[in-house]
Amino acid sequence: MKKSLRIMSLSLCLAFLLSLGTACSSETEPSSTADPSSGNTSAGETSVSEESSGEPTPISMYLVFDGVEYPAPGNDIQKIIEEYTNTQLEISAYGNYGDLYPTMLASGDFPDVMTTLDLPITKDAVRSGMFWDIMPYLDSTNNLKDYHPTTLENSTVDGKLIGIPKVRPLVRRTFVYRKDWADQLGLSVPTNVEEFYQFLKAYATSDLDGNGQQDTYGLIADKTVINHMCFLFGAPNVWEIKDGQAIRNFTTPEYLEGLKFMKKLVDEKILHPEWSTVSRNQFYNVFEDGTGGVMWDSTNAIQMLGARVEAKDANASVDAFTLLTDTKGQQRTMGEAGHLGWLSIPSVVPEEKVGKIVEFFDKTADEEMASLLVWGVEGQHYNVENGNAVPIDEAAQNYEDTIRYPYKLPFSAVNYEDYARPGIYNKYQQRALDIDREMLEYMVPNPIFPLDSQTYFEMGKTLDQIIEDASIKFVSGALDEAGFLAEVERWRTTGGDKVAQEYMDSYNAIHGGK
Amino acid sequence: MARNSMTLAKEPLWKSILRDRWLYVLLLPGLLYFIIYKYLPMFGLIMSFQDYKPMFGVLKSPWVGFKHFERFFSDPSFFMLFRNTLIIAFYNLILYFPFTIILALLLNEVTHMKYKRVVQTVTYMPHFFSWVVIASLTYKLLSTEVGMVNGILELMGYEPVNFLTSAQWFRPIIVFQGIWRDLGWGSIIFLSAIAAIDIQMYEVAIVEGANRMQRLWYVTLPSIKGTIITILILRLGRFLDLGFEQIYVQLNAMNREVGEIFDTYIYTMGVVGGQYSYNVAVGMFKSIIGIILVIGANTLAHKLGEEGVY
Amino acid sequence: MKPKKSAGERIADSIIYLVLGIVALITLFPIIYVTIMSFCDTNRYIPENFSLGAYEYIFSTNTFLRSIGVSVYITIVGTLLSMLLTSFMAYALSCKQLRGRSLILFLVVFTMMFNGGMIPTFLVVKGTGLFNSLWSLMIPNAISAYNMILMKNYFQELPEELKESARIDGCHEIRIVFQIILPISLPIMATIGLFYAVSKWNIFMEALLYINKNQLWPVQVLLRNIIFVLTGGLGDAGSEIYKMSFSDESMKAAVIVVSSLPIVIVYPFLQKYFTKGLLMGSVKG
Repeated sequence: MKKSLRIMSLSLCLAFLLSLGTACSSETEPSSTADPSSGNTSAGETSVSEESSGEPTPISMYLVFDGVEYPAPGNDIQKIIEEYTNTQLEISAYGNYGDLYPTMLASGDFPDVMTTLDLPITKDAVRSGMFWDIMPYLDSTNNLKDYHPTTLENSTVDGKLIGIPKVRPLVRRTFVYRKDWADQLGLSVPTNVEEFYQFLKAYATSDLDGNGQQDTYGLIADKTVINHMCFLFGAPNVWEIKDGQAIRNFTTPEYLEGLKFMKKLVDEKILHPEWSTVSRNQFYNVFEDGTGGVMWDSTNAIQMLGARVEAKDANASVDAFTLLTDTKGQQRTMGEAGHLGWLSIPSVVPEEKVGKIVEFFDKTADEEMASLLVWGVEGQHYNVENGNAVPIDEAAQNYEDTIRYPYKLPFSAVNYEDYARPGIYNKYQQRALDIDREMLEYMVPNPIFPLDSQTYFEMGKTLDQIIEDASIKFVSGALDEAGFLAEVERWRTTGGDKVAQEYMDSYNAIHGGK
Repeated sequence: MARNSMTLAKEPLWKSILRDRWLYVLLLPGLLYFIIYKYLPMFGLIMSFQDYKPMFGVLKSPWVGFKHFERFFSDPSFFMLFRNTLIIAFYNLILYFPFTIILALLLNEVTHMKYKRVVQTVTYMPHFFSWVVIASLTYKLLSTEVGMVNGILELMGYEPVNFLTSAQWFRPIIVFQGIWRDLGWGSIIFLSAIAAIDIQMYEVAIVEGANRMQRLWYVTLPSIKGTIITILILRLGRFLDLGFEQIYVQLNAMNREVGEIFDTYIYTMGVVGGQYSYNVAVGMFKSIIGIILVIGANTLAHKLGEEGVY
Repeated sequence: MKPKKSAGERIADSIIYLVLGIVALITLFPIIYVTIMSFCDTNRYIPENFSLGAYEYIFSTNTFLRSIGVSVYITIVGTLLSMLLTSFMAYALSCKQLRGRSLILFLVVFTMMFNGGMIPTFLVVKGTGLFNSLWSLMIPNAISAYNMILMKNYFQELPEELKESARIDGCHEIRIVFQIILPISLPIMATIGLFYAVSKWNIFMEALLYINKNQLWPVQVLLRNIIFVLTGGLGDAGSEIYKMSFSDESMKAAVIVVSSLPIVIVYPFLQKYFTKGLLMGSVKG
């Protein structure tokens, strides 16, 4: 009797807990079913509510989010954006989008706007017709029509625009250096490779942090610096189309020159010895601690590195240089993709809605919206002095948390600074913006972004790995010149030559070559 | 199957089902679960014979036969990958697995309850460390720049050792990390098996004058033998599944020739590169090896008069 | 009935205590190191700049409490559900006279090697209507084949007379499970319960795949996001946390502490069920 009572109470407990589960999930259910634009409802339903114009357009999106917490739906900023654009946004924001993306893409479960990443699978998906071609819609926009032609070209597959590019500067690689140390040593900014070497060496051989030991390094960089170093010796920007052939940088003698230079830096303890294994993020600590004089990074890191260095040492400051005349006397900088993925519209979205979605992103570049995204809310995040927006320091964190991370960075439909009202940027921010603009005319683009190779799709990673490993081994002395050339040969026979040929064919198909 | 067993069985099928009806009721939810959430998704395995395109799904993607398997077996890296995977898996099996049993046996000998619990809890904790953190702890310990071990070596007048960028240190480090992280975790199941031993058996053994080693040998070990065999067989099924993340975060140019395994190799190609079909094909290869090992080990266990897993 | 320990026994004892002590110390050292790291700067060997900043940051996030609530909920309810289904199935399969038992066991083991992968599983989860519900984190992984087989093994080794006598008393099987089997199976229940609780607590990827409402994500998503942001994220954002009063390393360490502490402290409470003699008591009583 006692025992059966115990059983009864146990099962009652269970039943209670289980019903709690249903209660909890049913509590959350309405929000997902009531809103017709939630990711799992089909496109057909959404078009109904659209008939009555003037009604806000519901738009669901999967966005990349680099912050910690996404603000709750219905927050003030989102309301302002929704009101201005006459939309109703339903945003799912993912931190590690890169890991999820292939599965999301394959599962076919799409929102109205899907962030797509610059991976071979995206191009494959576009080719099979998974997303709308946005190109025809750009002409009728006010702001989006002004994309840089290279950014646009790098965003196409067979002439179709993959999505609205999430723009970032086309030229952004830079050397950030400790300005205070340069002043202390009386060094001026290097303009060519020889001066660059002397500059680094001066940092490495002086006791700059004043601890009585020569334990600072001239240059801190992670392994992705290899291409840039070799570029300084005249090697192509990864690929080059020349004389009817696609040439990969490491097949050129210039690349080997660059590697030898790097080896010299390693041997003379100028380059941080753990360059090939430590990630750039770990190196931020090293730079911040004053263990290195120059850090190779992108322009957007200037502000962050400046802030970190200054926080450790009030007298410290940073600056950056980019344009180094290469050993052949050419002034050039490496061009990058110009985007960080795209905002794509799945083909299940009805046609009449596509225009509205493009219009939405176009409107985010209108001055009112761009100013919101760049400066925040007037009176709350910035004041206006002499017609210039001046950020309020105390509100900086709030701006980052509620505007920059959740909306500005995930949208990035244009470079919003170009469309926002004028204002006073922080000195490092201004420096980054200046470098991005000044360097553009010296850009050497990487020609393969719009091109296509089935072999690269299948085994590109393996091929890249062969060369990366060989280059690192050469620089660290584990491989001699003959050994490196043998690895290049292995790359060629394993599929490298095929990749080059396919890129060339693809290039000819687009440009109508011979 | 039902028909076969009917002809073999002593009593008619309906009678035994009727007799055990309540057992079948208990079995039903579990069966449904396995059918819906484990067997239904297996239709995805046919992707390995297709060029899967998300746009067309499994139903309409083009068939390519054994293309992906052929590509995999003819990959110049195949033997390196197979070798590296086997070696690390083998070390794990002969080092990690026995250590968990030994730890449980040692803990069983401890009569001081507080001491036992502290050791038990402490060894269990590292299981919650992510590999990224373990890798960064390893870096702090072993790197040539900031590593404590190299600091000590230098103080003693030795040359620093390149632990993290050398081929010969890679496997020992990986295996040690694995043991460090999961030693206590792996021993839990054996501790619970030991706890289930009838205490009378020990009492009898003591009365008969058995010493410690004899009690261990004649009472404890035989009592947990079933558990050991079961876990061994189940481990064999996942023999080639090494911790992907652990190895991935510690691979570099200098140790790749000994460290690259199937999982890390297909991660860059299959997952990031979106070669869904290729990915499934490689997974299938590992599964087939696993099922062969399980069937082999289970048959062996039956031959030795053990229960096995099925 | 305590035999006096001989000299040999005492030496053996001290060796055992010593070995275990060394193992514990080797294990403990990094744990202590990480704990210190979460409060201090450890870029140099000696910890400096004591600060609670990393913890304050985690606790001050808006979603921390809610997401930890979600985690606790799926851990408790999910574990109960798993234990219920697993013990039912394990008990049924532990009865040797059950027709088809061996085949079913083989098919269960088979799923440990072969699975459809993320995409088809996702489609099934969606097809069974669990998308965007917390049940998607509890039902599709309700039974672990590994745990079920371990439990079945345990049940199988229980004295057969127990079940027989219960049947003669006229209990039907469901009552036998609750009344006879579960009370004498505490060691395995504690073990498997722990295994389930840990796996539910650590759920991460499934949450992101099966739920696209940020508000329903468990705490591991938030904590991983913090780490992800620290390690640079996908894009240009740089690190948001650099302005804070603590280092990246502290933050990573604090995340480890916060994400594992709640589940770590469960273990000592379960340890009493690993004590010998429990089985005896119940059988006799």
